[in-house]
Amino acid sequence: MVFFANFETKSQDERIVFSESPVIKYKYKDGTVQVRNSTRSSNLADKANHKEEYTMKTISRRDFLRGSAAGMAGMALAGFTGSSPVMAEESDSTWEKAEYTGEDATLRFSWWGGDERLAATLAVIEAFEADYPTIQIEAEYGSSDGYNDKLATQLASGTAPDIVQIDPEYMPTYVATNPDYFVSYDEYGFDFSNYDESFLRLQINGYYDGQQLGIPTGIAGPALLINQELADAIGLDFTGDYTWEDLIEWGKQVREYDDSMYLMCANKTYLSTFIFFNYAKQLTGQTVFDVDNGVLNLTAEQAETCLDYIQRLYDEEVIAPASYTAAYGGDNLQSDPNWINSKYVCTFAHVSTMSVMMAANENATWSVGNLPMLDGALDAGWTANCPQVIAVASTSSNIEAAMLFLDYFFNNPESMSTLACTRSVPATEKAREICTEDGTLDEILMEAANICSAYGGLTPDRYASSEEGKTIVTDAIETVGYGASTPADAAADMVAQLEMLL
Amino acid sequence: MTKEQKKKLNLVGSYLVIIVIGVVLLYPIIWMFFATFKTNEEIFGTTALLPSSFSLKNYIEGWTGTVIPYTKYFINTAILVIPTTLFTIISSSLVAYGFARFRFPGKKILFAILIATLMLPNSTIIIPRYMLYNKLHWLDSYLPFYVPAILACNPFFSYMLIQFMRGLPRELDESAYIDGCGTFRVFYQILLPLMKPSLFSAALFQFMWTYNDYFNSLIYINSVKKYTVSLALRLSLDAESVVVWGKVLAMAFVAVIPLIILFFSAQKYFVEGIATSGLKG
Repeated sequence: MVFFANFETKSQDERIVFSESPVIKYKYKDGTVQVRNSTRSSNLADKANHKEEYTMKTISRRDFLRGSAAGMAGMALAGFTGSSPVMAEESDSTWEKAEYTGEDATLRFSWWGGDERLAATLAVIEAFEADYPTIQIEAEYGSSDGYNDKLATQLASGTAPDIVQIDPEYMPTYVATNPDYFVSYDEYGFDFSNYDESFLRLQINGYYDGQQLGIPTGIAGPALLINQELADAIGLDFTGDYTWEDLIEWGKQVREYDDSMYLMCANKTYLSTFIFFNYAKQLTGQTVFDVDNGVLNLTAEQAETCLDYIQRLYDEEVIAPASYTAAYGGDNLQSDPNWINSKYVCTFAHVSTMSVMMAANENATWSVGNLPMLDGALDAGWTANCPQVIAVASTSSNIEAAMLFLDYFFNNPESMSTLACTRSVPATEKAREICTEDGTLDEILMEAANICSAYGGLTPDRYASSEEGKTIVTDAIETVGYGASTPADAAADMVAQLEMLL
Repeated sequence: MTKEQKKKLNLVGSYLVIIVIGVVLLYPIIWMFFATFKTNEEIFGTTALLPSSFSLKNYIEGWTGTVIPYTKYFINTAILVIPTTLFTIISSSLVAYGFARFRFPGKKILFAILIATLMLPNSTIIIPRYMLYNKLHWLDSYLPFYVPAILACNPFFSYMLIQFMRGLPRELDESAYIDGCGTFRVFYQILLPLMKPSLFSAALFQFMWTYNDYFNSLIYINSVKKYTVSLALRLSLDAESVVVWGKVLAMAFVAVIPLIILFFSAQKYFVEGIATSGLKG
């Protein structure tokens, strides 16, 4: 099962073949890409890609990206029907209760999350304790607020809980601080047979220097959430292939339709996370930093291009003024009254926070669309990740028992059913099948996960995804948003500050 | 206009100003109270103060919503806050007595150190403290709150009490000595009763700060069954799940009630304590 396909930008005459994918793609020197449908039914792909045909044809790079999106989405959805032989085989693997003969153990397990996640996780812990009476799991749950501060303190002083949920964007910093904070699952022979290797073995999903230090809890990533009725009324179609420039044109259309509305709901954090970093990757074909060589890839000119685009979003009124959105910072877009009252056509969102955005405005009909691309993009930019990873601290008093618990947590069908989508769309095909059967899988989340997975852009590097890196970019966007400095000045300033991160 | 009428008008005028300022200052709490009956849509979608309907649902669901009922969190908070406050008052007033009334070698240096520690921000001492408590196996208990309170580790209060005590006339001590009191008896029979306003404000401050403190509780307490109200209030707040704000606000409202009651009942001493400490003499 392929969820991730790295968009090979350097290859010239090479064929790119996505193994196990229903679509085979060839890329030629002139930049054109040929996509051929395999024999497998593409009904689902069609559904996901909105009437697009994938028969022998030569398409442009943009079409290629969209095509790969559809192909991947089709594959992901095909998994549910059991039509994929690879999946069928994996789905047959049943969970067997391993005996535990070790000494009595009490393990601490910490995570953040809301009420639903809490109830589901506690239910799994209870079921586990019933099956393994000699192992006790002490739940240490809390809010995401301050979670990383606490975890950093605990890791540094060797008092971290045995099992910890970690924000994947913070994990590189922890591993860089001390590679031995977490144990390698591979060393303990953890059963990853339910996981797709190409998804699992990515740094963002817990794979560091050839060792799996974390298990991804689900699939997350960027999504474009659309108020479908509004988009239809104005005549905007996000299902096709479109560019960043199109967004600006559409923004004007929205203002013409009703001058109390905006195309997009976005604050400075979202402009930075979703627009700046992806635009930059598409523009440069590289991550912002070259971590291995310790250099900044982004030049001041390139940064200026990105910021220039953001300034145009403000100037052309594609998004609400910076002074207005300042009240709804971070992940608080859902409390914007304009969002609640259907004054925005769409918003970028994380797959893991989409349901919060949707719940804020229950009167609207929601759909997810494709993501914008740059003309002549050097990288797809958009990429999926996971909402959290779960790791075992090396200071754990009983690593064997912890492994046993996590096997129960991730591989036991009953746990999969109980946990459902409380940590975003499950990362394993098997769990998704179970959730589909239970009716707990949110189709719109699944579709969003498929769309972002299919782009296969570069994974953000650890400097750019660090708190400092993000703050530098967000601050630059803010100064541009308020018109306090020109994109050129803000870019020069930003690049100078980013260099200091190295 | 007679003098009488003018006086009345002035009175009405000043009351009006006071009422307007009072409403403005209290508005957040009033808003919070009414928001506890609202749905998310009502909270964010309209600016109306009054909810469309009144129901205790948010209170009932909020109280039991986090697996462990809030009763436990309130008990934990009381177990944490009350002893911490008492210990702080006792230890700080003893330290203040020493500095304000006795001459001993190194007094000036020690006093300078006390003032210097006042300047240390909490974030710089949290790591060494955490490591120390870890070595002492005090983590996940309330000892990291009790012990510093017993040892007068809150220089702000020591300093405040020192300044207040310096304002009390020494003649009172001297006459007590002449009457045959010992040093300790002077402290608890002569000085402490006179320090009541200052002690009250120190106690109120410490109570409020410990009660509202999120970061220290977060760092030192791991087990959910030892969580305080400030930690519990955050349990339902998460970027990745739908927050029912009505429930959170209902619990937040319940959580501020003790503080409001305490403040109003001790207001007299509280204001006097702040207004007079360090200004006498």
